[in-house]
Formats: sequence, C-alpha cells, structure tokens
Amino acid sequence: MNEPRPRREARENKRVTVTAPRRSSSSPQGGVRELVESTPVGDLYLQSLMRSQLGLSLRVLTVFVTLFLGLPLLFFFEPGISKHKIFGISLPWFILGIGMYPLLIGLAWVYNRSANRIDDEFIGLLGKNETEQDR
Amino acid sequence: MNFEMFAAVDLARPIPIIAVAVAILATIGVGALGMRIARTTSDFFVASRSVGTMTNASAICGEYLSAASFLGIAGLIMKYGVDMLWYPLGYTAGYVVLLLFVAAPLRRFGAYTIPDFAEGRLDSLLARRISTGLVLCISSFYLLPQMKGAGLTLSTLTGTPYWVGVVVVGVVVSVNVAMGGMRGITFVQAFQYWLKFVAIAVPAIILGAYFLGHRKTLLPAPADYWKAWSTPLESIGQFRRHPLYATYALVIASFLGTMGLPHILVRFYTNANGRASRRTTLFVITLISSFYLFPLIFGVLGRAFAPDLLTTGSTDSVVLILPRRIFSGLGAELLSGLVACGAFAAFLSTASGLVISVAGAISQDILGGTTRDFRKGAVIAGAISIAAGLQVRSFEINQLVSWVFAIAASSFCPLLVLGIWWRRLSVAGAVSGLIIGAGSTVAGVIATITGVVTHGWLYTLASQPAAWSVPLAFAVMIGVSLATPDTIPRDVGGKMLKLHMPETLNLGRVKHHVS
Repeated sequence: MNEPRPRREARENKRVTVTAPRRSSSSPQGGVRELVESTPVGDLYLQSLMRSQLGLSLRVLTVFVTLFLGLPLLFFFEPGISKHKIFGISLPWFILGIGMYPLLIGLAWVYNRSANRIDDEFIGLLGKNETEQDR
Repeated sequence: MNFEMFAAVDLARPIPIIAVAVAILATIGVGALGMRIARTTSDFFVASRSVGTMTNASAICGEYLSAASFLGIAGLIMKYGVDMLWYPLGYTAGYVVLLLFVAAPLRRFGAYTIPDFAEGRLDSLLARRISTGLVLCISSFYLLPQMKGAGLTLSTLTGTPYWVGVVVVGVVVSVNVAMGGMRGITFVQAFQYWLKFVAIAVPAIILGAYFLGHRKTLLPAPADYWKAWSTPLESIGQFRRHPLYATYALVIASFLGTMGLPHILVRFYTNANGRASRRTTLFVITLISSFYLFPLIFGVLGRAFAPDLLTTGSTDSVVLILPRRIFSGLGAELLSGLVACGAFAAFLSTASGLVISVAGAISQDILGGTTRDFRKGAVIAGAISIAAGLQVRSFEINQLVSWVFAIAASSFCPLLVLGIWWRRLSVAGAVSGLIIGAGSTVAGVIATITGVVTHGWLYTLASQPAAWSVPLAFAVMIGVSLATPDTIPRDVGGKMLKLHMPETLNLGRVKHHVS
C-alpha cells in the first residue's frame, strides 16, 4: 500500500455527487459489472469512453498548438504588426500580455463542459443498459 | 507626525523588515491553526480530501507563483521586452495542457505522487525509484531560485547580507512543514496566493496610475532604448540569435513542464474526485491569469524609471526597488513593505511545496514512511536548500526556473501522458524514456553552466533544450515500448478503468480496495 487513505466516512461523504443516483447494493450490476470483470463488452465501453475523451482533448490541443506555434511565425514573417495598436498598446504586447489569457480561460471552460458531458453520457449509457438487463 | 522623518532614516528602514516578519509569522500562525486539525496520519498527508475547490485552486496558485513569477518575470520584461511575455503565458497555458490530459485521470487513479503513479501504473519498483530520483532532482533544483530570491529581497530592502534571507526561508519552511503537514500547508498556501495577489496588484496599480499621469515628462528620450525592446523576436535568443527556436523551446518547456512539477501534482490528490479536479484547474487558470497582468506593469515601469538596473544587471530586483524609486517617504516604505511581504510569501509557499515533495520522497522511499520520517525528511530538505541556496547568487532566477521546467517536460510529461492514454506503454519504454529525456536535458544544462559550449547553434540547443529533448523523450518511450511488449504490465485494462471511469459508477468498492 503506497498511498495513505483518508478515513472511510470522509471518503464516502466526498464520493457522493449529484449526477447519478447512489446505488444501494454493494455489488455492481449490468454494464458496470461488465467493466469491472473486464469482459470484451466492458472493454469496448471503456475504449469508447477513452476515445471520446482523448478526441476532445486533442481537438482543444489543436486550437492551442495552432495559436502558440502560429503567433511566433506571424511575428517572424510580419514584423510590421508591431505598428498596429489596440487601446493604445502595440498589437504583440496586447496579444501576449492581455488578449491570450481570456482565450485560455475560455478554452479551459469549454473543455470542462464537454469532458463532463462525455462522462455523463457514459454514465447514462451504462445506467440504461443495466435497466434493460434487469427486465 | 512628520512622515519625512522616516525617509531621513535611510539605513534603518523598519517597514520592509516588519512586513517580512508579518509574512513569516502569518505563515507560521495559519500553519499552526491547521496543525490543530491534523490528527491522524492520513489527515496529515492528504488533507483529508475535504478541501473545497476554491481553497484548493488558491493553494495550487499559492504554491505555483514563485520567486520567478513575483520577481523574475518583471525583471525579464524590463530587460528583454515583449518576447518575455511568453514566460507568464506559458506558465498559465501549462495548466490547460494539464487539464486536457492529466487532471481528472490522475485524481481518479488515486496516485498521490508521481512515483506512486509510476509504480501503480507500471507495477515496477524500478520505475518508482527513478521517478523518486527525478522528484528529488527537480524539487532541489527548483528550491534554488526561491533561496536566491529570499537572499536578494532581504539584502535589497534592508541591507542585510545575502545569506540571512536564505537561512530565514530555509529554517521557517522546514520547521513549518515538519510541524503542520499537508492540512496546515493547504490553508497556508491558499492564504499565500491572496497575499501575493494583493502585494503585487496594489503597488502596480498605484505606480501605474502615477506613470500614466506623468508619462510625458518621465520617459527617457532615445528611441533605440524602446524600439528593439518592444519588437517581437528581437532579444529572446542568446546573443540575439535563433529567436524563433528560442521562443518555441521556451513555450514547449513551460507548456509541458507544468504537469511534471512534483509539488503541483500532489495538490490534485486533495480534490474530491475527477470532476472537482477539472473544476479546480479551471479556477487555477483564472487566478494565475489575473496575477500575471501585474508583473507586466512592473516590467514596463522598470524600463521607464530604473534604467540603471540594466547596467548593474540586477533586474531581478525591479519589483522591490520601484516603489522607492518613484515615491519617497512613508508611502514608498509602505509599498516596499507590501512587495517585500508578497515576495516572501512567494518564497515561503513555493519552497514549502518543494520541501514537502522532497520530504515525502525521502520518507516514503528512503526512510520508513512514518510521520516522524516525514519530519526528518523536511529538516534534511531545508538543510540542503540552505546549503545550495548560498551558492547560486549570480544566476538569473528565470534561467534556473526554465531549466527545471525543461527537465520536467522531458521526463514526467511523457510518462504521465503516455501512461494515462496509451495501453502499450512498457516498463522498459518508460524507464528508458525517463532516463534519456532527463539525462539529455541535464547534460545540456551542465554544458551551459560549465561553459563547455559557448556559442552558435550548439549553445542555443544546449541552453534551451526543451524543443528537442521533449520529442526525444516521447520517441524513446514509444519506440522502446513497441520493441519490448513483454514488459507491458499485467491488467492494463484494469488500470485504464481506474484512470478513466467517472467515480459515480461506484467501482470504488470492488476495484480500489484490491490493490
């Protein structure tokens, strides 16, 4: 055991979130069981989740890389850009010193929303499967 | 009361000293408060995971905004101009990359430190040992600029010898860490962020307003002084060569190095779950973004009001000097006291985080792992940082910091990203990637420090290694993994499940308790 664990009740309190009803039974059912027991179907579930999340991250990263690789190139090939001004500040100063930050926050916000939605959809998918099997 | 009397007592300037003392006492006081709550060993280490998102985000920022951010960036902007804005931008953007690839999975995996992750993901004690070595290397290296900042601040503002500041920070931090543990430190760190924010924002706004009112009369006349400074790609490369490469190297190091800083990742474990981990990161990005507006103001004002620092080479002290340069009397002393307080908050908080990492690594992997071992580790870490801090007086703060980021980016970053997202990562691949990535970066840094390479492309590549060492580390890790599929750990599916499964699915009871 290499990681210290907090007391049980502290853990339980923190683990309960509002996105899904808490399960009363102690052994997982349906889709969840497939996952835990690493059945081929469970593995497919997991792979689809990872693929969605990774795809989202890579899409946001692309926006990012374009900006951060593109701006130095822009300054390199377009030196005249310093002559342009926004609010009295020369454009490179404005972009690097002020303008990029709201963009970073915005990107992070969009990512967060989408990543949480992927998680929710996945939870919903497993939950639905479970009720089908119960019938 | 005659305020001018204060200014006349030039040698005995009490206010900055009082301010530093307040910062130290407040740090100890808030830490002691936390200690009363820290009872069990697990509380002591991981703050019970009962820390709120905003507190946690403030604590991460408190730990992250170091001497480099509080003093170094303003100095760099003053000295080299617009190109240096990539530093704060990269330090912020690093959290976006961390958010995209690491934040939620790492929390879900339940790894407390990077060595824990290496061992848990790869089932390899060797990978753990190498990671521990790297944590010690990165943290100790990162302690140096904090120590330098402390020595510089005290000597600049109060005239004490350089070593006084180094010893004060080393002793306060190691004792506080040993006494308070993580619970205390989480509150201390959160408090430190807001202290730093006020301490840089208030003087920057007051000085900036003064500057706008007196702009016409105060700007130095020669246009050359401002031209290269305000033009991109003019001064970033060493000897003004290879500016495009230098920009990319800097961006890559700060982008990918953030996730590999040991003292930052520890904080993510104190989030309640993966989702909270993402939310915390978003808050962190917002808090850091608002902070970095102010070093920019100081840098520009420094260029206008303190050009003599450029010739003496002590641009790292511009934030400290500016209030007295522009104002005089009690106002100048009060503002100086405020920045001194904030600067000390920066050294204390970052150094605390690093000492915790070093103490944790020493106690878990070298000593027995008990609370007493952790305390011993904290004292050892403090002693090492004082001894080394006395030696680095002549280095530029941000140069030291950018090397730390380069080492982290070319070792832990590929380990984390591939470990979280790629099933075929093998033990041999991870280990060789860590060794070659970190080794080649350190070789470049040593070649630069010792003067083995002094000019040309070789110098540029050695002194700014990230742009080649990070791709190299990824390539080695992937290539060797593909060649050694027999060392892929067992049950990768189970580990991936643990990394990526939303917590609400209640897997915890079945899976987590088996390990």
